[in-house]
Amino acid sequence: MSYNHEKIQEKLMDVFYKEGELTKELKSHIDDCSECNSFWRDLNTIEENIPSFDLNIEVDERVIGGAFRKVGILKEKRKNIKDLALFATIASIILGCVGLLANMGYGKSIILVQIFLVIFAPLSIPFMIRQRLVKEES
Amino acid sequence: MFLEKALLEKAKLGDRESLEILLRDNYKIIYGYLLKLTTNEDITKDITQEVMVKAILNIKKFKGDSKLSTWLISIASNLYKDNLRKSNQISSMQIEELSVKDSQNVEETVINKDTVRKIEKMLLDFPYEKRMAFILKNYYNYSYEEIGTILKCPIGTVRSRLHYCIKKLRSLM
Repeated sequence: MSYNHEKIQEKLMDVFYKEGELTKELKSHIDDCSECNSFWRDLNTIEENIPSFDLNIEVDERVIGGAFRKVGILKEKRKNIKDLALFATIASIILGCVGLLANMGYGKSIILVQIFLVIFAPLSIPFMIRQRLVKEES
Repeated sequence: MFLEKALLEKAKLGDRESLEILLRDNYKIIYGYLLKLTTNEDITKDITQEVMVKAILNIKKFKGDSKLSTWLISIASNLYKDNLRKSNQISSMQIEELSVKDSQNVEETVINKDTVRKIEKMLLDFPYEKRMAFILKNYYNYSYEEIGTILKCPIGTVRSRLHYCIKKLRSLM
């Protein structure tokens, strides 16, 4: 097929798909050229014979529901990753501060604070539970 | 169209019910498009669900320049490409399970079905980018520009892909 026919046929395709106009030049070419005339007719034949795949499609609620569930799981995962990243950042900052203080000569004080926390922090748990219960009741 | 915009606004604000309605309204378009591409119902269902997941997650990013269905088809095209890259299972077609349009009389039906089957077989043999362009134009009547946007390629490429498909299909005639 010559370059000219190729170009003309692309233009005919544009006309067929309503993306271009059927100009006089094109029209006279179709009349004179058997190859392009046959191309023009075949465009219609192809359209008529395009298979109609099964289009009795029912909306599957399970697919839609499943998508929302998947999104819920994904969001939860993302939240967990965010929380983990936040925890890691805060923990690193605290550890860094402790390390810095120890380096500055406050090691003894840090150990004392730690002992104090280990002994007394668990004692605050009943109070915390009570506070939470009061909050939930109100 | 007006209703779609109103629902979209609500969906963007996090209204699940509106989003569900929009997805339900577009379900047939996405499913039908993917079914034509894959011709496999199981894979179609999986990708349709993935499309919906992406749509739910990114609904706020949808600017509304095009119709929602166009945006969803664009997502479906990308996911189909990804899926194709991941596995070549899609090529195991189930042509026989798909129904063929019926004609008025029996004789015509036999001839028609034969041509339709040939076209169907050839359609499935096309490289996927070309098949996508052909399906979008012939089944959904998208303009060259819209197809270019969906498939992220210039209009010239869309034209040449369509021309390629037509030339191949003509060889069947």
